[in-house]
Amino acid sequence: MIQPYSINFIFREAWKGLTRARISSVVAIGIIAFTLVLLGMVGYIFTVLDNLFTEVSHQFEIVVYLQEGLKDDEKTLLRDRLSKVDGVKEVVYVSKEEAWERFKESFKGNKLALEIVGKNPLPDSFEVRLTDPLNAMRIAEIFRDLPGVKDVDFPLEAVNRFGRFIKWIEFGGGIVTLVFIIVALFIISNVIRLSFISRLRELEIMQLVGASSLFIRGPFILEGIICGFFGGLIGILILSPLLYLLNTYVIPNFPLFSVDISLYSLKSSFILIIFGMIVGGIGSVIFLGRHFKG
Amino acid sequence: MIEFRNVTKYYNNGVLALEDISFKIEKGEFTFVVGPTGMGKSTLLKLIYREELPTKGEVFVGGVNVARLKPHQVALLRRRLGIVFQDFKLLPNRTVYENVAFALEVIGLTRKEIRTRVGRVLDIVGLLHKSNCYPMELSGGEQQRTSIARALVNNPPIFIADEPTGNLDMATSWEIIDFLKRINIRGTTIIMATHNKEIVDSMRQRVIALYKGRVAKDEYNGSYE
Repeated sequence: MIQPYSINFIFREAWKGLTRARISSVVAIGIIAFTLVLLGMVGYIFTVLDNLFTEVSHQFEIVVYLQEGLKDDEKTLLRDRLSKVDGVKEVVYVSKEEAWERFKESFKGNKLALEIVGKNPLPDSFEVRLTDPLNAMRIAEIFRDLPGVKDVDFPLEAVNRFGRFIKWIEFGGGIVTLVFIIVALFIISNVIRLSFISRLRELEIMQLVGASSLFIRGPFILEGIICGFFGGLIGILILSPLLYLLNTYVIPNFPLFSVDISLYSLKSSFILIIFGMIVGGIGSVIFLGRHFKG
Repeated sequence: MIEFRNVTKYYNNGVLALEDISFKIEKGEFTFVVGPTGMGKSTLLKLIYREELPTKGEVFVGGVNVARLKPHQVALLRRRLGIVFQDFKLLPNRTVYENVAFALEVIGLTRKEIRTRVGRVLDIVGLLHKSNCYPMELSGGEQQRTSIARALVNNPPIFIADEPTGNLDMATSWEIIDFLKRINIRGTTIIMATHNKEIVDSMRQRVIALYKGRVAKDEYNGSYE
């Protein structure tokens, strides 16, 4: 139903709109590029923090010490119960002999310490990893009440503080990004307004001769999308080297930091461009919705 | 073809444009709407092509109540109306050919169809040799003929003209009226707002006279006064 000639028309009109108001188009493309760079950076920081959190929280595990003299089937039962608690990722059994071996290993070369301790004082235990370390306190309380449990140990304050810290950073980054997306939408809206004004005569005639809304609105929406596309392209050109530098020179200095290389891959570049185009398109639609009937 | 039933139109600012207007225009009629400036002629036409909606009463075009049309149906209605104005409404940065083709481009015709139709209609209005001229390079009469070509290119059954000769000298005005006559003979319904007494008097067609928003006179074979 849509002719190639018609698509050609819509592209031509959109392009005319962009090139007629060059400065505002450049500003719009710039702000989209900036927003996307920001978005990319925030995404990067999220990933770094996320990995950091996973890394660190691996060391946050709840250790469940068992009472002396539990039978094997009692241990198995307890293990099942622990695994079934909501939020538990993994339960590893550490026998007292194993714990003793580990202890000896970490105090190897310190004969004095070993002599003072003498024979193995350690109980059997389960090391429990959690899907979200922020749940540690709640889960520890549940564990404490299970039969056969002597004591539960977990690094409460550290987990909570660290988790909250990361949530705040992510929240702040999210807010800033959101603000810039809104600013970008407004600026695109304004670009479309200028091109709308410059095309008033055409629009009047189009409405008189019964143009379909595809032809009336299409060029404006396409104009926004094109702004978004170029914004995305420029954003990637800025972001990629930036992330590359960070990955190569900054991150390796912090042993706990690690980043999934795919963040600046082709796929995320593609997503970023698509996102820019969506922002551009929505900016146009916002303008048309507010100022244009028919 | 066109029917007004007790139509009253107030503008948002409270100005009364039309009051209790009723009339019917049959297919193939040539109707003049006359009256001094500001007496509601343009408003009456705008109600037909649904640029405005009646405050009270109903307007039917081709048997359809235009107030009930959805936006995309309004577009379809306008494709069946040819509309010309006193100020031609041509795009200055497009040639004669492109101005006429524009009306077809924006309803999604193929390039080939556009070429044949535009060529044919420019031939009818005698502007084929000026296809590549810009409006600025044309006389007033030629500009109006271009806008008539644009209005005719969709073969509309109804042709609406809002003071089409208002900016033209008498000889050119007659030229335009001759075109309208020819279109009318081919079966197109024509409704034309004007205050050109000489044209109305010599045509001896139906005349609806508006005065202060009311129908002062509705006569077949009528004259201006």
